Amino acid sequence: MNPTSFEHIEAYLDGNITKQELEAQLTPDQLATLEEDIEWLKNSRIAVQAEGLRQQLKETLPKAKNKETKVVSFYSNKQQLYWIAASLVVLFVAFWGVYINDQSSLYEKHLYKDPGLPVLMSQSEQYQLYDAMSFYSEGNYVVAAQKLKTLQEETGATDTTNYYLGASLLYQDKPNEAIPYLNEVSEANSAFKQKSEWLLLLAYIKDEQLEEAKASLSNILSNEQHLFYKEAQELSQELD
Amino acid sequence: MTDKEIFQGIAQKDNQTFLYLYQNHKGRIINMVSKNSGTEEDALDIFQEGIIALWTNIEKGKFQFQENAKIGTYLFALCRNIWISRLRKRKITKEVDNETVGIDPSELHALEEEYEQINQLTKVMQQLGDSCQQLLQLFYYKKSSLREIATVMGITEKTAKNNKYRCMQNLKELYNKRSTTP
Repeated sequence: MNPTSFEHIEAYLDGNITKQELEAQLTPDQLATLEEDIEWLKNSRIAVQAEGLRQQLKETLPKAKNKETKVVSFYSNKQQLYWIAASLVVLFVAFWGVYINDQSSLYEKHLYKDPGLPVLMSQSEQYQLYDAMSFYSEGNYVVAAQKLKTLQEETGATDTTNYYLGASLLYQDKPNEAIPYLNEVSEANSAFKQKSEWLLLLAYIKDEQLEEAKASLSNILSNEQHLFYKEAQELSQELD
Repeated sequence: MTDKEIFQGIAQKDNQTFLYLYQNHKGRIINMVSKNSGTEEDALDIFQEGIIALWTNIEKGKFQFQENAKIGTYLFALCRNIWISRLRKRKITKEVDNETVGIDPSELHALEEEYEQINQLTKVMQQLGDSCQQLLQLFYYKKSSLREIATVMGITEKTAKNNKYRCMQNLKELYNKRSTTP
């Protein structure tokens, strides 16, 4: 496989050319090993991604694990305290559980997970945004938010950084911190305006600011062309 | 999450799906590994490999969504067999309970083979130089463009393109060398 046939096979695997078009561009020698070369390149590409996924999982899963370990050790060492605390929790839940569950489930059900922005790094100054969005698209919202904040400090806030910073904070369950950023984009004439309005509404629900949530909901429902109009209608019925 | 959502989540390498699967299946996997000479750390590692095995097969089109398929059952079955394979490598013979009812053994075996083949390649990949590994990760995993890679790595776009080909050829040579080495 020489560089040219390598490129042609990649184009085929990416769906940019058909098998016939691929075959037409190869020499008889290259055609003889074509199936083998396709299989090899396909597997190699998957292997690179599998290794990337392994690193992604190594970064993602221990967070859940560490959280649990702390709780278990506390319970086992201080069982009496645990039972007292548990009783108080049960009492608290008895009073407030239904209310909180309703808000949480509404939030979870309607949460929109923005997949992120495919930043083209055509200029080196775009690197910081590209870097932050790489972490964002991997679901590493903690690092993404840190990098976006640094970027804002260095070059000033934009609708893009405000929106993804707000989203990153909301996805970390920090609605209170997310609200100012999302609010700013919602009030601007921005490409992110409607998505921001929806996330802001969810942030208010998550933060139990129901009056603000209702106002945001009314605002979305007043525009039938809104990106989240149908979701807003559904949410409105559920809130009633 | 429905099984369809889980399937799509794995295919898209979605962290929320992985955390959901971890929360819902970790107990069973930890129990299986702990009962068979392993630790909780081993169980986490096996869980990761089980996810990679599922993703690999989805990516290769060998594991497709079926309405009646329970993804969790496949995940556990793959984790179990990967753990048995690890035990064998550690020269430990154990009769691990077979709790994977409802999966055709030949189908499971085929899924494992695909995973194992890719796993061998990922091991060879670690023998590549750091710059090759970085370039391939950026291009194939992070889907960065050659122009972006050129900026990140401080090279020209043309060099990035040439290096990509060269790194993939190196990988092939290392893999073939490994296959022919007794």
